[in-house]
Amino acid sequence: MAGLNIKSTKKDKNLTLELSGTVDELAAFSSVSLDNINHLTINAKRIETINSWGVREWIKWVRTYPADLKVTIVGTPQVIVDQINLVAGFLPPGAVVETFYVPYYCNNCGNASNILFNSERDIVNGKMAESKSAICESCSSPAEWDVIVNSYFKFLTTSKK
Amino acid sequence: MKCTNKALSYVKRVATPFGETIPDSIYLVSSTEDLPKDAVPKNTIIVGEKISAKDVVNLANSLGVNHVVQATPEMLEHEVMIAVNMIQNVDSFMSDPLIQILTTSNDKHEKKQINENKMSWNFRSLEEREGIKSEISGYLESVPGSQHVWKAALAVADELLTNALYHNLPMPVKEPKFEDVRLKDDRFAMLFLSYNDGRLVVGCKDPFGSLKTDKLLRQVWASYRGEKIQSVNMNTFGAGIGCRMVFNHSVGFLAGVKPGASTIVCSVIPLGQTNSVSIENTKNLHIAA
Repeated sequence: MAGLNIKSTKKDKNLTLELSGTVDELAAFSSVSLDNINHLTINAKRIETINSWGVREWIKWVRTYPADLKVTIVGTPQVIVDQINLVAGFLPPGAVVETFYVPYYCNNCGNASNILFNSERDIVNGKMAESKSAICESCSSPAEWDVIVNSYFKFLTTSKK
Repeated sequence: MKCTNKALSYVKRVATPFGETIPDSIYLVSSTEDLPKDAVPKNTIIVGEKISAKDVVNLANSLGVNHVVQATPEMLEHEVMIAVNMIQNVDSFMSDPLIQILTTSNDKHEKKQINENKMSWNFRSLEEREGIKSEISGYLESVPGSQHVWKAALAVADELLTNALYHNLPMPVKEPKFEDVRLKDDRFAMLFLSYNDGRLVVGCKDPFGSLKTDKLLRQVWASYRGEKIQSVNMNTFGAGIGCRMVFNHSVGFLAGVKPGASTIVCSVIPLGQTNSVSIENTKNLHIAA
């Protein structure tokens, strides 16, 4: 069974989790101890898919977070951004989505890929900074963002910056 | 009743061959204001231009409409045909949904091609899920225009398979162990895919016929109320979010139920479209229960 791989690294009161694979009903979030942790960093870069049963497990897990836990999510892929935008309570209260991926499509060579955004640097007043453009990593041509930008960035209004 | 001439001419052309046997009513709408406000006969086909996904679900949930069809020039005729066929002969849909959904003409070659493009997997336990998803990934590599939708197709396949299993367990269990997630009576369900030039169908058929479409629509409708889905039911499996995820990925959502005998749920995913284009697609809905 493939499922979700959780790799944890603890340093003092900081815990970093690297999640990879599929978030489904078998995701072992309950194995993660948050005892004596005041800052949790979730690296979601390698999450490939999440199903509705995984959404349920994720939210159950989020609801166990201590109220004073600081949460930062980095490398947030589109599958997770979509859930943050769709489901109330998916993003932990007060969590910061520090970095996230925005998919693009290159009409020139057909390449589809993602560009990493930094919420602090690349977003101004809830909108994409003018300096941010999609350049195809394969052929270096200008590419098109492959999301409806305004609705995709909606989650930034609920994420702390 | 207001209607657009364009939609009306399409529907007349489609309905004519069926003569006396066309459904009780085809209700044509040109804007949200024209949507019916009161319950209509179940076999009514609502045909409208750019009916939003939310309105599609609302019509089905609140008014009991089983067929909502978008008046897009390229697909209206075909979608009305699907609706008429499902109303007139649900057995035909239940026995071969792929042909019903993907065939756009009487061309025998087209049907043959759809059958040749078909892949299916029988399953009865959760242990088979990852293997099937892996094989679907391989299958999608051979589907023209699928590079943008393989994640959506896999997500839909995962939802359909997982839901079929958890909703047909031998005994209702709150948190079943992985190895205990098996279909009751050791029976098999089937996940299937096929495609034509523009559409990929991901479907699932189980031999139980336990799906309650009114409950499903109620849950999906609940997911549209408010800006976000407000709650995920933590105590019981399924709270509409899975159906909403499937619905979001689809340009067509079809469900057929023969109570106690079989359930079929199919998602139609557009091929050759980028994600940003796909998101803007309107949705067709067909229910036979």
